[in-house]
Amino acid sequence: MAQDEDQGILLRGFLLLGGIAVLVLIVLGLLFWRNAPQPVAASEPPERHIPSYVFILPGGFPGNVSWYSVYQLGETLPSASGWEVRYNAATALARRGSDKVPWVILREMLDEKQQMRNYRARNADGNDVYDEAAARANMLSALKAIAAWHEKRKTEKKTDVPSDLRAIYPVVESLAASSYVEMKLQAEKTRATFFR
Amino acid sequence: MSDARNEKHVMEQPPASDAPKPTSDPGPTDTALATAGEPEPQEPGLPPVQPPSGRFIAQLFIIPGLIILVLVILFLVSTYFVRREHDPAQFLQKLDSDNADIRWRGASDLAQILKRPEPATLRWKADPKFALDLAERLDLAFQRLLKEEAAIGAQVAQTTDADRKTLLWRPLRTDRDHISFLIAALGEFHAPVGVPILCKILDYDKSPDIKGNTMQRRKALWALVNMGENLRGFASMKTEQQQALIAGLKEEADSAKEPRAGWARTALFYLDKAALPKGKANDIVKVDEHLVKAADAEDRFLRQLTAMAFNFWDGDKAEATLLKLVNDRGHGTLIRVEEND
Repeated sequence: MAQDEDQGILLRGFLLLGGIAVLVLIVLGLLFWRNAPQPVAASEPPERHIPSYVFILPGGFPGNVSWYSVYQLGETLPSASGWEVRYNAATALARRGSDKVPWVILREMLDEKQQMRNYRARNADGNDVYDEAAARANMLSALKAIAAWHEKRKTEKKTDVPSDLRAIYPVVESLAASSYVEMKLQAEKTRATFFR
Repeated sequence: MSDARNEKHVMEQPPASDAPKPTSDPGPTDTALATAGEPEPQEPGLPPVQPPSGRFIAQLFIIPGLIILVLVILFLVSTYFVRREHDPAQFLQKLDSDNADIRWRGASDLAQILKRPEPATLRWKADPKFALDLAERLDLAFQRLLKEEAAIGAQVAQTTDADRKTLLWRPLRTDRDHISFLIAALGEFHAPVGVPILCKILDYDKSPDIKGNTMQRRKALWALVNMGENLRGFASMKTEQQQALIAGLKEEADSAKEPRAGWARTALFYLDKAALPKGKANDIVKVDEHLVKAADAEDRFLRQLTAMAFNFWDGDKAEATLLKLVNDRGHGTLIRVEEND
């Protein structure tokens, strides 16, 4: 009888120990679980596509130009030299509430792919990587400048919207649905300043 | 077992005769017993309550009080010395030291104060005299650098070896570092007294040491950007602090100490135009006019900073200059900071 009782206690002890071990494993798993790091955005250097760009079709101009390749070239190259100066000047003009803001430049600043290309660096293996934080900082700067322009114009009671700026509104709308929280919040703030 | 415990308990009980007896002021019961001549064995228990003596009170209050007083005095003395250590005059003394270690210790301490945003740091950041003292030192250091630069430039012109040229420029590094510190420090003040000297450094583009000078111009422009931001901070200061700052600048602006008085007038121009002394506004340095020149710099990063600086410094030529920069095609050079710089 006493031996049965001892065996029961021992069994319960083992069960308790097993339960605690499972709990410890779960807690440790939660503590040390790390999501696999996101692969760094990389792409092949644009120079590798150059042979296809220079390929000339038979026939005369403009039919002999590979327009698709030209389009592709535009999709792989960074902005023209001096873009850092232009971007700063454009945002400064917007913050002043100027009538002459180059909205085309601000629209380019909101183009995520273009900004990634502007912050491309080459790895030792020859592949290119993007400085995503720097690229997004440019986009945020543009969003803030657009909001500042609207606020400044509102205080001056000038609520007309240039057509180039109107083309930016849908871009800001799409950024308001961004999965990047800071971008989403800033886009929402900027959207709230729009003249409707 | 229980007998043994009892025995031990009995053994630990102090004997009745060992119980403490009153040494003075025996109670009426004791007196009665003594007069009766019938000594009875005293009952064991607590000693009778006695009023505290004067010595006892002294032990309780005066001695701890003295200890606390000594600690308070030590605290006040150390606070006084720490405060004295952080006096503007002490910083200036350290910055003027011939000993590089003392100089850099002073610079490090001052940098830690100036970079802090707490209102307590306004003691230094809103002190116009301190800012003017630093501006004087920067002006002197810059003039000294120009002389040394000219002397070394003559030697550099005679050699074609790039490594030799780098070696020849190296002695200027200490002076450039000192100037860099003073440039950055002036940018942290709420009184923009550093505008004239910073603009002078920004304008200087004839140096034979192209890399060293370009870096120095970038730092001067960056300090101007910071200064513009701190100028906005003036509006959020308390009224009495604003008045004290303006009063200090007015006093300096009225004095005959040039160029110091002129620097104070430039600061007044940006803080409170109404406080400018009448008939003395000819030598005011306007930042936007110097930014116009910087917009034509060969260094691309300098042009980039120039565009940014217009966010903080407005003026008649701001819009036109920005419209020019909007069409920048990235001409000129882009000197990069390397690991050894």
